[in-house]
Amino acid sequence: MLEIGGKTFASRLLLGTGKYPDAETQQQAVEASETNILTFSVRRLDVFAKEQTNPLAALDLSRYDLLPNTAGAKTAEEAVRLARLARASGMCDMVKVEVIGCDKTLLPDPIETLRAAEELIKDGFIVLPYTSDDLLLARRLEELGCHAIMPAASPIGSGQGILNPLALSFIIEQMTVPVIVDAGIGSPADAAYAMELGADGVLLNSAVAHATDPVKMAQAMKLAVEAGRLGFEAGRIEKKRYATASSPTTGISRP
Amino acid sequence: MQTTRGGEYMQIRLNGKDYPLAEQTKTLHDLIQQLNIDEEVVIIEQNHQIIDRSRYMDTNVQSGDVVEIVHFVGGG
Repeated sequence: MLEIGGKTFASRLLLGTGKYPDAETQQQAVEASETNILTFSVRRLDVFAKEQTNPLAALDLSRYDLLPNTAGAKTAEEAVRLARLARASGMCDMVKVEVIGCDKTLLPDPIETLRAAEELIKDGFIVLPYTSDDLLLARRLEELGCHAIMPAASPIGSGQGILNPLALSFIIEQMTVPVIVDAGIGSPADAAYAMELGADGVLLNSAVAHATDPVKMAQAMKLAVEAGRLGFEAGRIEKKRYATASSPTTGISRP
Repeated sequence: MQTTRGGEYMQIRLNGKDYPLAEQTKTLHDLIQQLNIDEEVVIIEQNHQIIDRSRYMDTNVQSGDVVEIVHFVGGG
């Protein structure tokens, strides 16, 4: 079971709700993923439209723990404000702190992320910061009291998978709070790899939402996360330079 | 419809745009009615203060107020 801030979750897959081709596909993909935690964003309502549409209307949000993000924030202050707006919905007390420092790479600003996390922890939030794969930053975030650490595998939405497994494994080994690999996952193999490295969970969105068949991909990701976790718990064999026979090398029958 | 109160045009800054208040719009609850939105799905900030949903009825809207109305959208 995944445990974050005193809550337990059967699924180790956290799923984003953005960028699905339509509401029905989104709903079916969420269903197929069997996730317990959905991420979403806070944005202005189009109050000037004739009729407002609720982009999450197809989802029964009461069945999930909600993890709003602070996407759009470039400073700690903006992130804290978005987190508080999300909490004012009365639907969540967790927040994914996301403070972007570079528009091209969408890499997180480490200083602002740290400042936002500190403020939100003081304010009683369950704080899950999206961060780079820097071990020392992860340590600082854990020391502040963050409830999970969410390092990126590669840039958001890039689908490049895990570019630095060594850096991720350093974080995974040294944290006592859960480590959730967030951003950059492209395929089920990437998700399984993250879990095999010992990650406590995987958060992804584009890999499912932009797949040719998002619903099928959601199921694939569910199975990959489960397979990767089982593989990690089972303990893989050491890699060797040369072959080792699987069948007995004695008693070979010859005519 | 643009209205005046005491000779002053009643206008707020709503989600980054100037927005005229109807004469009957006195509270945040009235504003929600005027905009025809479902208050269950929105969060409102008035002059940089988040307003609790239970207080919409007795929170006055005044000319010059900065009001942000946000909601949840898909995101990762």
